[in-house]
Amino acid sequence: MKMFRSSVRDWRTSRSMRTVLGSFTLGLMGAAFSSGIASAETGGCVNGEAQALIVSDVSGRLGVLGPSQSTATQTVIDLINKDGGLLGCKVKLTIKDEQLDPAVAVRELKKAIATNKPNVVFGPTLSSSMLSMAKITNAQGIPLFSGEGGDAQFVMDAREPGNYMAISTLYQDGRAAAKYLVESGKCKRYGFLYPDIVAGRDIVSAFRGQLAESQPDAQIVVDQPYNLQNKDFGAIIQAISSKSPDCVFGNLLGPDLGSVYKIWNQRKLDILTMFYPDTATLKAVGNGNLPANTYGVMRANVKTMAATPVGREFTEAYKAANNGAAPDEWAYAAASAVQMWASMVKAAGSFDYNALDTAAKKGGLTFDSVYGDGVEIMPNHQANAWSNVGPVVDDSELGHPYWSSDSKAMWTKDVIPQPLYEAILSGKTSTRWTSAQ
Amino acid sequence: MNEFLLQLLSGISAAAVLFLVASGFTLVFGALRIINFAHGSVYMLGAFLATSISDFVGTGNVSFWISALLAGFSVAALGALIEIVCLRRIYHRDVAIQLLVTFGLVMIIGGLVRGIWGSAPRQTAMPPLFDGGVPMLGTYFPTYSLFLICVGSAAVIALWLIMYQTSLGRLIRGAVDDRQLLEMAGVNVPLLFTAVFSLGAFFAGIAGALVTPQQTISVGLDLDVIVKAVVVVVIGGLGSIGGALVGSLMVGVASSIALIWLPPSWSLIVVFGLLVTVLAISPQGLFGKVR
Repeated sequence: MKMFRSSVRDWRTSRSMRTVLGSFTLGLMGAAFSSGIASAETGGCVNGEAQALIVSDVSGRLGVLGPSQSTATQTVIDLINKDGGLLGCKVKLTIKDEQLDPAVAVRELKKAIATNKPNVVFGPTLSSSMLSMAKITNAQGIPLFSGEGGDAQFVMDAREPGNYMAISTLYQDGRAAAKYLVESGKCKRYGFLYPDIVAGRDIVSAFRGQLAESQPDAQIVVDQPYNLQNKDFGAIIQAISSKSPDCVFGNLLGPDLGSVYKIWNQRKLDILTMFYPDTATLKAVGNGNLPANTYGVMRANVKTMAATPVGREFTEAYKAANNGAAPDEWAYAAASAVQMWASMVKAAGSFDYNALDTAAKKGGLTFDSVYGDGVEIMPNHQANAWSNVGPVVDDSELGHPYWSSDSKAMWTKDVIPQPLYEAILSGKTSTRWTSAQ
Repeated sequence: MNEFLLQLLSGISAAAVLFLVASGFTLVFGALRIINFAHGSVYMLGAFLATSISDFVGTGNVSFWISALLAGFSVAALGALIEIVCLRRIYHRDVAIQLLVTFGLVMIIGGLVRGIWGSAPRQTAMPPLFDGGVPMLGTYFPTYSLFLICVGSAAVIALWLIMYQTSLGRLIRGAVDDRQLLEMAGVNVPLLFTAVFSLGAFFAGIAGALVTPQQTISVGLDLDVIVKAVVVVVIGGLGSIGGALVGSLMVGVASSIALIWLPPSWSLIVVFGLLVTVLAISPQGLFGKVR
């Protein structure tokens, strides 16, 4: 042992050792210096590649949404990479399946972070998954951009510096729907039918808030939240129709909405409905099979979005990459999220979590999106986007029912109460939407 | 009163479909002693097959029957294949192994359905004969729901005839009581089991095909229906066809009537509350035998 210590001491003091150590230290300093420059140049991406992650429902109950969202995200990222990437970095996308389950969403997110920490996370489909994931992404310093899950809490009550909403919120959609129906003068007795999840409860709560302001004498005659596992709507619709509402509102979409339309037709109900009629469902329903008085609210209108300058480019790229298949509303909403992120990264000159927040707080930030050029990013990290409300009718051009031309695009400032809107514009760190009910 | 009667009728209609699924499930358990979790997958497959067949043969009254029966028989053939290839080897294995195998089948069939038909919802048109509603108690009650009640009733009679008026039924009842004795009597038990499993699959497949004009079909249909079918069969007593009938009516009607007083999101509470109550009173179910 003594001999070993002595030889180590000799080696430390030897000239060759000093040379090796000196070279090693210089090398380390050089590497640190050059990586610092590289880091400054690339804003934090590693090896010239920025990592993006999307978590959406690919195989769950709303599995029709996830593939659209992830394909759209990939399409926009491909367009970004084609233009040279972001801050000199190519963007690489990883896709994870949340299966419409918050626990799965969190598990997949944690696995992805452990494997290769992303610079940004997009998604997910389910609002409750989004709120659960935000806790992790914020703790990890990863910005989370929502292109679908649309809880107002995400950018209001529970807002964190890393939460971004590229579309309208459910709060806005609910109020827009109520405003439209009140102005139509067709409804006095209202009913609600919605999945008993955060998104369902939120949108109906927002609808009720607007109704209380705009039509104080309105009657709520039936309120039917249903379990998401339910498949047989026969008894539920019987229970609703027995209360004789004039209008029924909720955020049904996908298979649930298709089943409801079928039973509505069989019962020959002329009760006005306003739900979330997505393209896949309307395709399945087909022209000539729509119940009378069918209305819809949707945060992305395929026809309108395909006509904006950025929307046109996106639509063509999406079709080219998908055997001519046109994007649906989930695709456009997801595209908006990537476009918002890319614009913010460019404005901030960095991928960094805090740098993006600082850029947003400065105000005056806009982005070119499928919603149109120069969409405002409000200080609460929410895109000032519209909710599209109107009648759904047979469309010979598309080959299936869709919104008619007299539908309305309602912007955030047109729909949400002025005090709340002012609070958002003034950059309040947390704005309670529930207090506005 | 009208509201109550209409809810009752809606409940019986839902019970009719539940009975078709649950009767096959309990038949298989009674004879084969296997809890077949893949029964819901077979139901889902029947639904998807019916939508594809109706794309091909059309949506008229005759086409409707063709697609429903073809879907039922195709699924029955698949059931026979599953029994011969997978289940025959595990009859004498531990229950956990049996559950794992049938759960594996759930995953395989679910993946196949997603791979073949994708995630987009699918629909078939209502056959013209059953389109619209029948004026009843001040409203229109869907004609198709009344038709489902008739189909459910016909299935009860058909199963009763098969079980009590045919030699196949006698053999099945023999297998339920004592399959070793049946083997000793020289009966080809493996063939009998294949027939029983295939019959159970046929009922599930037909049930899946029959819901397509009234419901939008999508992946996930399998797990939704199997949960309810298991509750029905446990309430009625494992292996009892009569129990499946009573269980279906209890679950279907209770879920529907409860809507008058409770929100639909409570439907699972109602269903499982019923299950717990029955099991507390009669642990083997209403018509189950203590073995």
